[in-house]
Amino acid sequence: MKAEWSKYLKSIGIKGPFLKRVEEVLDFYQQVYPNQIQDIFVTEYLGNDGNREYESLWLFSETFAMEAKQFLKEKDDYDSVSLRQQVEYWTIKKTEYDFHKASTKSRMMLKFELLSGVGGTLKASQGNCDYLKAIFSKHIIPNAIECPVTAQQNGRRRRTVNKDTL
Amino acid sequence: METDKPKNIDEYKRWLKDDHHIEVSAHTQNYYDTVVSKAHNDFYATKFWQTLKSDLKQINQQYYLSTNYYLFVGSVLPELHTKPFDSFLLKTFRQNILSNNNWPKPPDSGWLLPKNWYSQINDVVRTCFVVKYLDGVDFLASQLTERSNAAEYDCKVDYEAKEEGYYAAHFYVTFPCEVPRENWDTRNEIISVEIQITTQLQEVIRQMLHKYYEQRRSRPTTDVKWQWDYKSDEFATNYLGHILHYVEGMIMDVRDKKIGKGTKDES
Repeated sequence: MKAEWSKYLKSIGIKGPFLKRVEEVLDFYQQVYPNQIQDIFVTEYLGNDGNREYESLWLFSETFAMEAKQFLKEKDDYDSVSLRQQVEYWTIKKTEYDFHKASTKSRMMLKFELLSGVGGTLKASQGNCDYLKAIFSKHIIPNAIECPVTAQQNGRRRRTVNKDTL
Repeated sequence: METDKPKNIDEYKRWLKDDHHIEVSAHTQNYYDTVVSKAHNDFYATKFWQTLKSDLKQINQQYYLSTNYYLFVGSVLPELHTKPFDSFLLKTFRQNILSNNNWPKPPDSGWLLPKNWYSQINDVVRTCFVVKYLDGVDFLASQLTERSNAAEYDCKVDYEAKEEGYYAAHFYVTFPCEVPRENWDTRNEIISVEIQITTQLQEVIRQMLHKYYEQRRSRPTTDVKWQWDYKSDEFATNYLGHILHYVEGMIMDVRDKKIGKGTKDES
């Protein structure tokens, strides 16, 4: 595992048994896309009891976005989609986050949708917001397209279809 | 001549003095405080306790991976407490007198007197872990057993289920401790630490009823059964403990159905 990934995972409280599970996911995707994975991101939020609730583990390559859904709960529910020039729509919702430096009160949610109708939702709390911002800047914005006709055609579908329901 | 059975703590103190030449004084209490404070500090510094501090998050995550729920509300080690002298003395009163079926002969395990009571009373140092769900009690007890075995400390778990509606696991771990003698020399004692494991719901009721239990335990037993005395405090509080335990069992059943685990109905 890259040192920067270890550092990132530790910063959001993933170590011990949870880290082992991340390694299993990484091993799977390394076999499918050898040496292509550039960044990882764990979508999470703070539960009412103060524990972090981890949802999906996302991985990003130059071309693909990969998701290990509910990676701590479900066993091996993996998928992947091409991101290259595919981002038709994105939305960010954030609180107590100035988009420069996250605080303990910061929360952020990024939703994106692709031309195919596939989409994803990534959540972050506290310092993880800075990592989500980095993913947004590096993998979502460069792949956003300006295509009003297609966007209009897909507009209806965008509100009814997402990757999770396919 | 047969000694009258002490009925309260003052009579018990008199009995200790007359029959065993033990005077319970301010000095006795000071000495007790010195010994248990040393035991507290030594246990806090043990590798067992210090490792547990760093392992708590890992234990929390292991439970999550098998249940999809966290074990604790927060992964913080609970505070270690020492048993106050009055509670300690009360416990010796219970064991020497109130629960002693051999009276006026000593109980089966012998009289609890200063020469042996630090190693015989098993909760002079104690703490309590609070877990979210009922199955977390057994899970944590197993984790503590593993760690005690690794540290080569003797341990045992008692799953308490009292008629009075009290439910908790009591995990006892013993460790060697060098305690001061009254002449400032030292001697070795095997000290037992009580680690209670309870659930959030039981903890709420424990906090409410703790004082009540203490008072009740210092009274001699009566012939009237609390189960029939519906106007008594005991009737309401004891049954509340049983009801909560039942509710927690039901919560487990619902939770297991939600995550697709087998339930009692399917077995």
